[in-house]
Amino acid sequence: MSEQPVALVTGAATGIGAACARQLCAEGFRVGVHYRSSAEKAKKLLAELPGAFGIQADLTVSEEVDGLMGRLKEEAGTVDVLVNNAGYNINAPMLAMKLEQYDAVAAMARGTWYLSKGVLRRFMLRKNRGRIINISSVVGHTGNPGQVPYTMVKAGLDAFTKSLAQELAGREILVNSVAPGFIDTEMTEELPDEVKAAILARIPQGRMGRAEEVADAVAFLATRGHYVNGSVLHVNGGMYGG
Amino acid sequence: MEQSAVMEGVVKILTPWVKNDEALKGVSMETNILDDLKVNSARLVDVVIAFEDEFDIEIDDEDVDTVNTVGDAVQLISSKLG
Repeated sequence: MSEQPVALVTGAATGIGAACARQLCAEGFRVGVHYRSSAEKAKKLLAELPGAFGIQADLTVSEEVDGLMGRLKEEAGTVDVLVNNAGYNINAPMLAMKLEQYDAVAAMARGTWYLSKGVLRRFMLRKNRGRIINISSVVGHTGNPGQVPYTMVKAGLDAFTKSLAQELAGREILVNSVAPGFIDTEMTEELPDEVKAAILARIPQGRMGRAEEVADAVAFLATRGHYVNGSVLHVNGGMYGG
Repeated sequence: MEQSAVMEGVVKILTPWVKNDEALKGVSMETNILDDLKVNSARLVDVVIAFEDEFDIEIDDEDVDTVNTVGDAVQLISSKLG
């Protein structure tokens, strides 16, 4: 195994995850591109990134996370940076939402917890160093109508960041969140124009963010940010400061 | 590997984490790792990782739950060594 540091980005085939994968590759990491269903997009991204490797898994299924851990061990032998980016959302008012839909959104929190536990146990604790970066969201702080379960998961992710950072006291394993605001991705492209206009009115910088601007914050926490721990870094054009 | 050699390795790994030196002097297979040796439970994972590295084995979380005494650790490691 080479000494090149390894970063695993979950949900890396598209949007913010893909931008993180590109940025971390540019910073010198060998990048693990995790994806669930976007195989074609992952393949294209992998072709762009020297040394990168792809891993397919449904993070809501613990056996698939176990399989992912096995692949990581074989493929890279270590993980220095884990970017928990994968998320899942169903937009619906709470009273119209079914329990199964809630479970589908909330299952990602369980998967993130289980993957992080595995990466810590198998790789980071052994080296006594590492970085875990959780991609949460401004809506976990401000709330957003039609996204009760999603905002619960994202708020929970920031609580996970703070608790784990404290739990890992005395180790050089730093845990932080990056909370993007409204970012120009496939997810926000689908929004109706009037919703987009209402969003823009709340952003002092007057525009949506770019995935690369979120990836910049992730790269800072992955490679520098040596005294930043248990924090939430807001990247939202000024719409919310924490 | 002889069980005595495994025991020696286990005690060597545990030593830096032991808070009760008196119990360490009289360590036996029956010595309880948390209750007698006063190893911090939050650091048990470091002990298990050290077992894995020292003996070149992999220990599942479920296996860790079966380890209470030094003897439990010796038996678990011996079983992994085959």
